[in-house]
Amino acid sequence: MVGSAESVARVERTVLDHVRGSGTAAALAPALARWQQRRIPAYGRFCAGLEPRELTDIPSAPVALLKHVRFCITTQPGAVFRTSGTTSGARGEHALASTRVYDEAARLWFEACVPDCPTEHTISLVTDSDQHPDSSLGHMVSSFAPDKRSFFDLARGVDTRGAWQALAGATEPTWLPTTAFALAELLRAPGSVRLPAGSVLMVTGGFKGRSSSLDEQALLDAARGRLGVERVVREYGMTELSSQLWDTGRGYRAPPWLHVYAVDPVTAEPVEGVGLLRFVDCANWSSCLAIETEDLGVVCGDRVDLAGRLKGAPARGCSLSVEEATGWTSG
Amino acid sequence: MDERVVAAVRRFGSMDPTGWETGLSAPGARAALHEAVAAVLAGPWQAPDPVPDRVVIWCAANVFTAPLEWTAQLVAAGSKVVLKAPSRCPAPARALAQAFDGLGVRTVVQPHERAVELLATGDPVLGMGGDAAMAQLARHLLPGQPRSLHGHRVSFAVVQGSSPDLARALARDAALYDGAGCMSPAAVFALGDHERLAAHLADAMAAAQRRWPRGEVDPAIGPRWRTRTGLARVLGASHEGPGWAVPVLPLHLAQASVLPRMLPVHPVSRLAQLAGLAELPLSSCATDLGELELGFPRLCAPGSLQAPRTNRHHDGVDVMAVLSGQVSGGSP
Repeated sequence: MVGSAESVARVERTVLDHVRGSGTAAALAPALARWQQRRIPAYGRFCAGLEPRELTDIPSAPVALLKHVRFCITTQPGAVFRTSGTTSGARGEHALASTRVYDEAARLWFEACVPDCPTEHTISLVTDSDQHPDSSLGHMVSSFAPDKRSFFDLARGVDTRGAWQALAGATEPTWLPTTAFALAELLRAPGSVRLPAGSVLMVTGGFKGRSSSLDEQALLDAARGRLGVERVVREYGMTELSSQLWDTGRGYRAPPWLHVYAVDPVTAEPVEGVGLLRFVDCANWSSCLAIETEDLGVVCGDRVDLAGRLKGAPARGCSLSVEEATGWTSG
Repeated sequence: MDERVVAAVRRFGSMDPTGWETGLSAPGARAALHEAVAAVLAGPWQAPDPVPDRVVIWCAANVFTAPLEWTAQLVAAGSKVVLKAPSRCPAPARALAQAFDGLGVRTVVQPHERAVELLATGDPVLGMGGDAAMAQLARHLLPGQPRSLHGHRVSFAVVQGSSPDLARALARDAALYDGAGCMSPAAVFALGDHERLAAHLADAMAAAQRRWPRGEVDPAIGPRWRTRTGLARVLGASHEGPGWAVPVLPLHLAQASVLPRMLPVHPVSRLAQLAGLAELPLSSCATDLGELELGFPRLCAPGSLQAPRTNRHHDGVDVMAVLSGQVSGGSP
């Protein structure tokens, strides 16, 4: 348990042990939220004195709020991740005391959901964390594959020629992490390969940009055909979260320390069917545990089916950086 | 005033708007209708000169009473009026034509794409709606066709006082139409005791909610509502109740968009801090200061935002002169 006066180091250790032991959100989150209220004055004011006892009691910060307010237990964070959104003004921010829990939580759940992923041979089409350390996706991919070869640049988009050459030269099973829009850009360029058996295509980011949309199934079918890859996994992650959900064919699965539930968009009351998704992520121990997204979905046990963006919500996600880099907005 | 038209306005005011699908609660819709009818009957009415034979009024869905004042004045002057009803909410325009039965008012309920045929005769057009809808409308008008097109505008309140009466007046402005339309206040800029004003506003907004409960709320409003109130709790103060909120926020977080039954208060120490407002498409300002040089086409007393005088220049445009073809009209 986490007492309200617990030290930062002890809480980090507790959360790390909890994640390593596949502990549930219900077992830790309410106490962790009360600790955050005391440690983060701004979050305490946001909670207005509410003392959460249940997971769904924990006051959720809407993602738009985090464009204006930083919730972090320290004024000197070890990492700050930011949402894309350079053309829409303010960017959401996620400041972490350190990335130790983030890295461990991400790795453990990735390995559980995508076993034997050949990360030692990685061709990356996502933002490179060396160039943009504030990209949470770039950080995650780099932490899984420190020796990756990157073919994406925020200013120029996908280096399609270089990527196709690298893919054609792959002799070992390869991991290809990409956003949906970067994948579409790759497939618009000429090229076709048959990746070695055991290769994995990872697709993340939304399929809807600010001004254009992708047909998800058509894109994935085209990718399978042009890349000769059988194993396709989808990742759902957010800058504001430390944990990710993975879909290997039967819906997105959340790790045990991440609780997902749906609420009525207007009343914020929990609902059974389609609702606005909220996350309570124990790995967000040093920032803000409970996040309210603008994504709709249905939660069935530990699986989540996404149902698109709330109508009227601005487009967001990692794919946007590709849209911005490549001028998709004018297409 | 033409007695037949006055009787038609009264007939409209006596109708029950409950089933008109305005999105407002029944008491809210009745209050809005009552307010609009009273403002039209208070006059004075204007007449275009020369009087056009026929005017097309392209109605918006968000403020169901908006066509009333123009219909009444144009019919009194001798024009026929065609009301292009909004597809999403055609009942109020139908009811208006019914109230004006025999006076040359008819309603057209068609999708926009087909209704543009109405414009081909070259009749003057008064349009109200979103910027995109008005731009689309403008593309279908003939060169030189008189048009007064009114897209998105925003209103505010700028006040020195903080009394309960002032708060009740501002809450009335915010509650009528649930924040829809260009005359709903997006925020109150408080030069005086903002804490006292916000506390009185909270009481007044709660009372308004009891009297005229908020109507339907779009799902997309929910996260925006919680973001604004959350920001206020972190950076200022938030007064909240079921169906209403008065967030107190720093000036740099002021927004030009309105959430239904949310009335943000932004403390300011001097009017010069509001100079940037002039860059917005402004409509009206409720103020207790008398004169203001902030670029608003219309100033009024708090409590009167939603009941504009019929002889005003709407959004700064002399609508009747435009419809008569005497001056070129406003396009968004």
